[in-house]
Amino acid sequence: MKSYKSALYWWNYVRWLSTVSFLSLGILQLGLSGSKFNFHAFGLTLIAITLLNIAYSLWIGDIKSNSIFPIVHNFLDIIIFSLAIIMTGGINSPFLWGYIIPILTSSITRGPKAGFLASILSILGLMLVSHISDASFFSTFANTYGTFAITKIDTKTLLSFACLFFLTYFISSFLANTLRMQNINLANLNVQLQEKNKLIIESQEKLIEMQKRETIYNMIFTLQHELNNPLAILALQTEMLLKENGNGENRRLNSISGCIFRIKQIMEKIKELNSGSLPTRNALEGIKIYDIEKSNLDEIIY
Amino acid sequence: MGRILIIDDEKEMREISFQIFKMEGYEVDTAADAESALFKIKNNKYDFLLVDLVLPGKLNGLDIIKQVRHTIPQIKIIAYSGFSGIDIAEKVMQAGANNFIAKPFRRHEIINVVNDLYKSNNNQHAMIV
Repeated sequence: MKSYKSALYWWNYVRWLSTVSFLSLGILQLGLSGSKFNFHAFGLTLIAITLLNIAYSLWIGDIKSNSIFPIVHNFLDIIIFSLAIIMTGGINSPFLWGYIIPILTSSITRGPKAGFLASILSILGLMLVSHISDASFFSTFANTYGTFAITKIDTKTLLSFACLFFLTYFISSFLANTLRMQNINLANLNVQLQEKNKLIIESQEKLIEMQKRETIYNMIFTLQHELNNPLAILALQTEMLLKENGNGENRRLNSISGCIFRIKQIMEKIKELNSGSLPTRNALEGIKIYDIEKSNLDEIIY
Repeated sequence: MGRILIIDDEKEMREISFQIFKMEGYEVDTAADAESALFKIKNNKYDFLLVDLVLPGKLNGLDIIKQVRHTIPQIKIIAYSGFSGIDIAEKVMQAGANNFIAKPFRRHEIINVVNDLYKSNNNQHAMIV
């Protein structure tokens, strides 16, 4: 979308450049001695083209794909250029090339169909220009504002311009369409890239979580081993003491022995921390601890 | 009664195990690492091996079990460890041990395992994990 919008902005500059060319050529024509160029007609056309350019500049600043604006704008473009050509000398007008502007604008802005339509309309406009000199309205207009050297366009010239318009339409449509397709592909790639990026972030988060769990699990495993070794000695020594002192009747030694095996069970239960399945409870305000006591210790005794 | 070799890097564990089996009437020997244990096994005849899985040096308890099971198939091997869990017990049994006991264990548990194996002519496979 960004590259397509850049193309529209670029084309907007070209339109303004064309307007400046129109102005320059018009001034040159007006300055020529014996000119049949009408100052008022030229001024009005220039104002109309400038207004169209301003409208176009405003539109590309806030493009809406379903807008009817480009169609109306292109239609007005062709009408204004036709008027400009009529008022500045018909077939002898220095602005015959002006039809290329709406054709290019349509192709770039709306696509090949619009470009084709603009070409047809431009040809029709040119034909209209060639026949309109006979109309009484323009005869009156010519009498009021000066002499118009309107000449009928012959068939060869018309065909030549038709070819030029279609060629312009074809090349500009092809280039604009290629740009549009690349833009769509780029947008799709961007979406895919964003999805992949999301997956990478998720994978990284999972990996970090797994690493954390692995670290905790290794720590628990190490702790279990390091505690179970002295516990084994404690357990056997306690039992030996029991055997030596009252043949298993000593309540305190029995309690110690019981606690040793309770620690063993707790160590087994703590291994479940890795699975995250242990319930938690509030030990103090804001402090949660794993509820090892309430969990079923019998489950972990194989 | 039979002859037992206790292989454990913890001196106190060797001592208490020595006392327990001595009291039961077994002839007891001890080793602090795998190398000295293998040397003793090579030069003596034992009926039982009590092997701690985690040992210092290049060889661990599993290595001893695999080597001894290969060279002396008739010997009874009881492995024990501070680690516990079915996966560890399975590894030990696959290596060739007759039993696996997780630390800490009760005196009568280890005695019963050894006595049962002594009485039995077959290689029983049991686990107290």
